[in-house]
Amino acid sequence: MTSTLEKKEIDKITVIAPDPSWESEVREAAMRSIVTKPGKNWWIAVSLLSLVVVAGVGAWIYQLKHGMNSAGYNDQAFWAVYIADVVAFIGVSYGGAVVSAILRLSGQSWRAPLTRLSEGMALVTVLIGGAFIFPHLGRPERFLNIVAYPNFSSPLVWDFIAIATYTLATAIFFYLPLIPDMAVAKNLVDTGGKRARLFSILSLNWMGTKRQRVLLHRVLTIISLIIIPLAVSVHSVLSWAFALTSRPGWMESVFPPYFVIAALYSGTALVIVTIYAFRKGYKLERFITDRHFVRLGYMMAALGLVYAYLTVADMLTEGYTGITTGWIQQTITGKYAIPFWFYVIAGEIVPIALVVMKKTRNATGMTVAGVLVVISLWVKRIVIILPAATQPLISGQWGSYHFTWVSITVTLAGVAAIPLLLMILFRFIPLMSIDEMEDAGPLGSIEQISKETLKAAREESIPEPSKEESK
Amino acid sequence: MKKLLAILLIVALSIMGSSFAQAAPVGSLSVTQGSGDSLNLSGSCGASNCTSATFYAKSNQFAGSNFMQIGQAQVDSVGKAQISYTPTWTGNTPFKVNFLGAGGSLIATQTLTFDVVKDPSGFPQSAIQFQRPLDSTGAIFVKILLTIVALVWLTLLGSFFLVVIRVPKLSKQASEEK
Amino acid sequence: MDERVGESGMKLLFNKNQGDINGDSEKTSEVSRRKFLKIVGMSAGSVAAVGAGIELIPYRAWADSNPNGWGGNSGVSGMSAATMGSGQEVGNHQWAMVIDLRNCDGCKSCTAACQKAHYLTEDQTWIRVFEMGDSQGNSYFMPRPCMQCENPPCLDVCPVHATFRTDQGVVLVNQGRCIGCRMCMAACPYQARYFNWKAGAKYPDTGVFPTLKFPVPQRLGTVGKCTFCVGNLNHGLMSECASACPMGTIYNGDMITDVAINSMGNTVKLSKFLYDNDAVAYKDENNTHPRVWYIPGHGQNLDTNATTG
Repeated sequence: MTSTLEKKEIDKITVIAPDPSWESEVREAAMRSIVTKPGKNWWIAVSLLSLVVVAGVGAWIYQLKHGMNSAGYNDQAFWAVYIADVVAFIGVSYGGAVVSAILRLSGQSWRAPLTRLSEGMALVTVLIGGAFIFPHLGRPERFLNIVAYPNFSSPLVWDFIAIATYTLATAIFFYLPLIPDMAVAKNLVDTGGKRARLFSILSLNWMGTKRQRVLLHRVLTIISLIIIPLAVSVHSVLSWAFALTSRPGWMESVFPPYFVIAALYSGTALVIVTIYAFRKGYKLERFITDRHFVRLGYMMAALGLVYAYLTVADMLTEGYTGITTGWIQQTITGKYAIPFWFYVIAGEIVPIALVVMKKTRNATGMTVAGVLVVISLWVKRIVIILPAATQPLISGQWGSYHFTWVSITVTLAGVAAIPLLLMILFRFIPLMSIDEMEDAGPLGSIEQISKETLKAAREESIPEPSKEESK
Repeated sequence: MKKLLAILLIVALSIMGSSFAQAAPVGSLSVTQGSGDSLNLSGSCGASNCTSATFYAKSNQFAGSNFMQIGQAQVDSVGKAQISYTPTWTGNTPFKVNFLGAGGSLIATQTLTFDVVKDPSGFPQSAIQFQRPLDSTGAIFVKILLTIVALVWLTLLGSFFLVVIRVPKLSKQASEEK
Repeated sequence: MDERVGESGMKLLFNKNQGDINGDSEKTSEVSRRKFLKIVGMSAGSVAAVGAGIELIPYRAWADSNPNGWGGNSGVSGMSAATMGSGQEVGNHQWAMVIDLRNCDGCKSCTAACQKAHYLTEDQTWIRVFEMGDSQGNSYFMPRPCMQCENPPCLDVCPVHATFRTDQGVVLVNQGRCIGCRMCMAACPYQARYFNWKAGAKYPDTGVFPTLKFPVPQRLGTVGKCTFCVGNLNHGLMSECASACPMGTIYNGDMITDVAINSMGNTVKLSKFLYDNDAVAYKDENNTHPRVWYIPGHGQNLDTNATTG
């Protein structure tokens, strides 16, 4: 294996012919997580994260037994941290889908090393976000009443439909590009082992014939086309759970795009954090370069500006006439001032500054920005939810939500579950889409290739069916 | 002194006596079925100083309920007053009339129980039936949305199973060709 | 100040009661109407000061624009049986409530009685007495039960049809179906819904199986709310809050028989009572059409020289 190429050297490469050494490099790197045995650090991390998740489940059981009061809820703070978690986790899932689907549709071949990780992140976070509906409910065991007695005039029924559909689409969108990789993977692990059998089943006997490739490409295009409006609809419907009430601060026409942009913004940020962690953990610097981070950082900064714009639009239209200023006062100068200004500084000013300043425009800088955005956007969800929920609608005191050990533990369990599930998941599947990487070629990870050259390269580089299969 | 006391007693007694006489129910009340569903309540004041009449009915719906005012009328020159009243419940209903003097003092009163047989409630249907979001346009909207959802599921599952079924077949074909 | 309110409130009541002893529920309405018109303005202004715009829709405006509607503008119905329709959806009663704010002294007996009867926690104020400020710097009290909206927002947002409306116009919660998502609490503009947050808190084994009309004991993890004590009403009894009110503030009423009664036995023709006293519906601009009307004002503290509200 060649060591990590310098950025400048990669820039100089102009040859686009299929490169067998590139292929073997890609295969080796993508399979690192499968072929190598997990190290000590991996086990320590997994067990620590599992502990947090188990603690969260325990806290939830405690909450079931003692009522939701133990999670800090009361009648004037009826929606709080768990619904914020649902919105935040399903939100970051959108980022994964977008990096994969939008970039796939627009033919951005630099996406190739990122798609697998971002799709995996999307799948994991949508599952966790969906799971957070259960601690949110007072009677989770009756959850299927939504299926048995659906009231289609309720936004929550449509939330359920949208999230279920989106989860299905994310799972399929994760699995289908995996098929060719599984065919590669099954030859790299011990034959006859459990993993080999699993990969063999998942690979669907993929041989990479031209017709198979065309089929898969078409299907993936269709699903990419579906998953973008689907993700938009999920976040719109989630926002309508708030916006379809008569509460000042929630009844806002800006809410659907507001939520969609928040989802994209935080999602892109989490993609940056995810690829940074995996790049570091599996030494993928050869493929995931600083320029990937910078491009994602630009995307994130642009989305951050749009989100700031929507935040101002929301507050100005509500606050200008002075009819419903209570929640705005509480947000800017009152009870929720600290989390709000935390969002302004850590969620907008600092990350955008990190992108703008040339000094910090690198992998580390972007990752710091990403972490800040993910955290402060969760805080922002709290700031959106609590002021409107705790406001007095008739007269009297503002309600207040108090974080308790139960709600904090359950939320931390969700946070810990993301790296935990990703770490376990990527012990079974390749870190990068081998197929897409080989399509893209050595330059593909850096610069866009014209469609014709890509096509020519692809036709020549169809891998031979492996010998074991033809027997 | 004794004389004075006696005079005072007589005066007091006479005042009391006169007030007792005034409180005696000298009025009359009659209830008849009027045109349509309404009832005619008419009463006459036995005294000449009546100015207005207030009519009451008593519901048996709530335990502890009392006479409720159902209308007021001026007393005419012959001491009569009448109102038209549309009942809102049926059954034996006590009615009452109070004749009042100029200062609002009670001059005469009379009660009567009448069996009400018709009660066209004034309660309109529209006050109960509010259109729910899914009653008309909403229902069509929901059907369209559900169709879209079904199509999305069909496409997703269809493409998934297409790949799952077609890919092994294509592999088989390819290895057979070889 | 409260004492003063209480005393003068009692005075007002005694006046009324004298009438009631003779079976007389006469209103001195003509004298006081001008006052009350002012109170309407004042109250509307004061509520706006609290921060939510015009929230009071007078009953009179509705009655005048619907002369053939329920009650009519004369207090006597002009509705004929033919236009009533089939009447299948109309129950034999349509329960309503009138809250005469002129009498309320904020003693919260209603809340206590309700919590006792339904075994609620202290936080669960199905009828809650709010202290409201007015433009004169005074305060008055406003008990707030569930408004039993004719167009309830909570009903539309419930994902599992756990909230429903009876043919008697009462909005109830099926706690056997409720999944505890609290969307109804978000949708209710009156903060009238209360969740059962705590396990074992004051939910004794009453030996009574909770029913839709009498959800006692409340079930953990579900939403509860004022039921209008519809079981009581159907048996000719008054709701717990109304019968516990020492001031006769709360009237239980039936819109079909057009009768309303308070704890003093003061019996009024509901539509006429609402019309004559300038009753208002609270936050009706949300298109909720409450079945609870308020007669505004805190008469004891009236500044009759106030020019505008």
